[in-house]
Amino acid sequence: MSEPPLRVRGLTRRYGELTAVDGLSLEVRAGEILGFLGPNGAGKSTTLRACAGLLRPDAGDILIAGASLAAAPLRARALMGFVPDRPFLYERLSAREFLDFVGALYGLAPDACAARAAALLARLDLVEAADDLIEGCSLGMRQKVSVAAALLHDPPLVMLDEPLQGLDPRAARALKDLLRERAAGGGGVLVSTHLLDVAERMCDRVVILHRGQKVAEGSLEELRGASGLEASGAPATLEDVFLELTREEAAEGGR
Amino acid sequence: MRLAGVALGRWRLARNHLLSRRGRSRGRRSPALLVLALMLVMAGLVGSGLAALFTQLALHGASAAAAAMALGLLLALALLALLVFDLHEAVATLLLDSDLELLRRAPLSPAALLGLKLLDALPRTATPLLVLGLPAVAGYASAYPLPGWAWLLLPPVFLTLWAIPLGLGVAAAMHLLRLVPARRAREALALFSTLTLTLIWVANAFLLPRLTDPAEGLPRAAYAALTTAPAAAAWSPAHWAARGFGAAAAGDPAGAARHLAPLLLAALLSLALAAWSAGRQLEGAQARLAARVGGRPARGRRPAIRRRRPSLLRATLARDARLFTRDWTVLGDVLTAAALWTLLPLVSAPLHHTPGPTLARTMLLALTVGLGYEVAARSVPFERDGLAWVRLAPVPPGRWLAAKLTATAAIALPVLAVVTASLVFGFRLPPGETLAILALVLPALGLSLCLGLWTGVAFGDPHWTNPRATLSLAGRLLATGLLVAQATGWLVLARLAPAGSFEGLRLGLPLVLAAAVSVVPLRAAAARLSTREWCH
Repeated sequence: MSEPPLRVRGLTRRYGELTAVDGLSLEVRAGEILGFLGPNGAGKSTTLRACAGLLRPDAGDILIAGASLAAAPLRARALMGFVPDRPFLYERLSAREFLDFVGALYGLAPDACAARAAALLARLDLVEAADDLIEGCSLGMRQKVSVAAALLHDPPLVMLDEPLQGLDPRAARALKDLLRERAAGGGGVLVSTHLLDVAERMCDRVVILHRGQKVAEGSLEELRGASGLEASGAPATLEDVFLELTREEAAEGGR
Repeated sequence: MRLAGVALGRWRLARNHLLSRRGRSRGRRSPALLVLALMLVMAGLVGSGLAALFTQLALHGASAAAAAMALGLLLALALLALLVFDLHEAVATLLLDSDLELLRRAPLSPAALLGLKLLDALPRTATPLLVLGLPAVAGYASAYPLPGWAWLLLPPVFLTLWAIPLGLGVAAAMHLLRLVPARRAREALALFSTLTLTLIWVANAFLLPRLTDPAEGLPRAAYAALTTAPAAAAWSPAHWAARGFGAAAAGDPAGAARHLAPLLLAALLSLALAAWSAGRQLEGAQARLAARVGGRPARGRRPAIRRRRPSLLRATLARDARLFTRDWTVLGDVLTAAALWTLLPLVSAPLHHTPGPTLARTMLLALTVGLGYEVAARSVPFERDGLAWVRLAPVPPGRWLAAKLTATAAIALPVLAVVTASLVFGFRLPPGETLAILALVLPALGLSLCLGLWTGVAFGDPHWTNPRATLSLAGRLLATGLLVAQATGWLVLARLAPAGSFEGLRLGLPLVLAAAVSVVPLRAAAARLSTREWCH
């Protein structure tokens, strides 16, 4: 059986006294979009950054398509794309120049890189702005450039931290379609978002994180069952489930 | 607006900034007190130099009124410097300060907002008056004693001298921002501010010792230039102030009042101009800025140049070349700094009668160690958050550093080549001597670039706003120490191996030495890159 795009086992990350992520295990399967949900400060961004190699875990293993991020970092990095919440861009390059540079970092052949960049720019409606300096771009356009850079080398795993922020409805739809297509093509997608309705419609499964720990994982139906809302008979949305699970957890924590 | 509450808030802000109070978020320590201490040291140095200058004028028989013309010249220079600082601070505080959005949302009139931000700007713009204006008056008073009552005039005179360029600076900034994007304007003006301070330092270290050398005496031309009223003196606030002090030194209170009264009027007019400009244009400028942040992309850029091979080195070279050439503030600064580093040895040379070839070698060494900081150290924070790609992409840190080193050498070598050619031509150096100098200078450049890269990796601040302060304060201090250590080391080596020698060992020794030492910063930089974290 082939390795899943992402497997995290016992991930722990501390900032001084604060344990931001506490023994988290999760898996992104091939062909699925996994939603990563949690209240502010739950540890979502820390988890994603640790999986992207930007933060060192205090404990745990991270395997990207079977490659250990700790033991084989270069191979693991080549197998993933990451869209941070605040894009890592060069302000005084144009989007096209930036993608050229990123393509070179990933060792893409020039023709393949140019073709792929052109396709992504067109798909994300960036063609007209492709030769403008990024410093003049809006937040949404920067986000789109960041997405294009993450997808440029066609990695089996794509991780996105709040990818829809700053995007207009058309761009948000384009991105969602793009991610759906990647999943349909056998890739894995991990999306952290606050937009529960988006997660509900876009994700195959969700993981809910609270205070650094996983409090629930599964499809919406499974989560409804786990939350106990199914028994009430009322149709429960992901928002209801999320609030219920994080409320219960908060109450247990307070006891 | 509840004035007392607002004033208390601003006072707390200033106090916390100055005293480096740290919150729970573990922010970086503010270097405000250290900066203040450095400014006081600089003021002391400039003051002692100017005291010597005014003593020379007195020894040459200049009257208090004649010497006041020299004081007027110095105060005019301080006002020009202040205008640069004010332009920078007007852009920074009125349009880019982090609390601006909060203040704009508050029910404040434009005049109240302007007043608050001008109060914020006061301590930030005071540097030229502190390091040039005040020492100039102190130097004048050391040679031409002022009566007690004249010292009471000092605070109001300096307040008016501060207000005049500030008003003009605010008004000019409003117009400037219609032409130039705010962030670029801020970076460029920050650069000019720092270069202005550098020029003051160079003038103090280079010009004053020559003018005040007791053995040589004050040159006749310099005496005439310093004591003659320029044509514009009648319209120069600096000269009004200087004439006021001149009259005070001559014991003429009425004369002092006559000269100083127009200052007050000019200050009021200047502030009124600032208020008028801000009232008409501040809101529009702020709105334009806000629209730009979330708005449309820039247009009219050149299309990308197609590359032939997917090489990290080629990509890094192309990227750094684009970043440098598109940022004219940094590029201009690199070139200016290169000239200043080259000229630095001249500060002491005529006093010590250094032979030409030795001076040329020393100038090139100063340039090479300087380029390590100017190009290599700054090239890392220059990437800002883009540097995170070194952790995201499958590129080993060593390969990234090698590409970066090549890219910085590609920028530094043409500068070194031009300066070397100029010096070879200027000093008429024979080929053998040139070769010996290059055998020393090229390894020195390699080492300085490696050390620069390490300081950039270890201390680079990706959120810099001043192109001359892209490293943290600790990084800048360490970089300065490294520059001094390198320069000293190479000069000692040069002394051990006299220029013109063709002995293979002496020619090869610097190369071997530089290669051996360079390994240390490169390994440290690679280790730092592989462990550095990007939390936010």
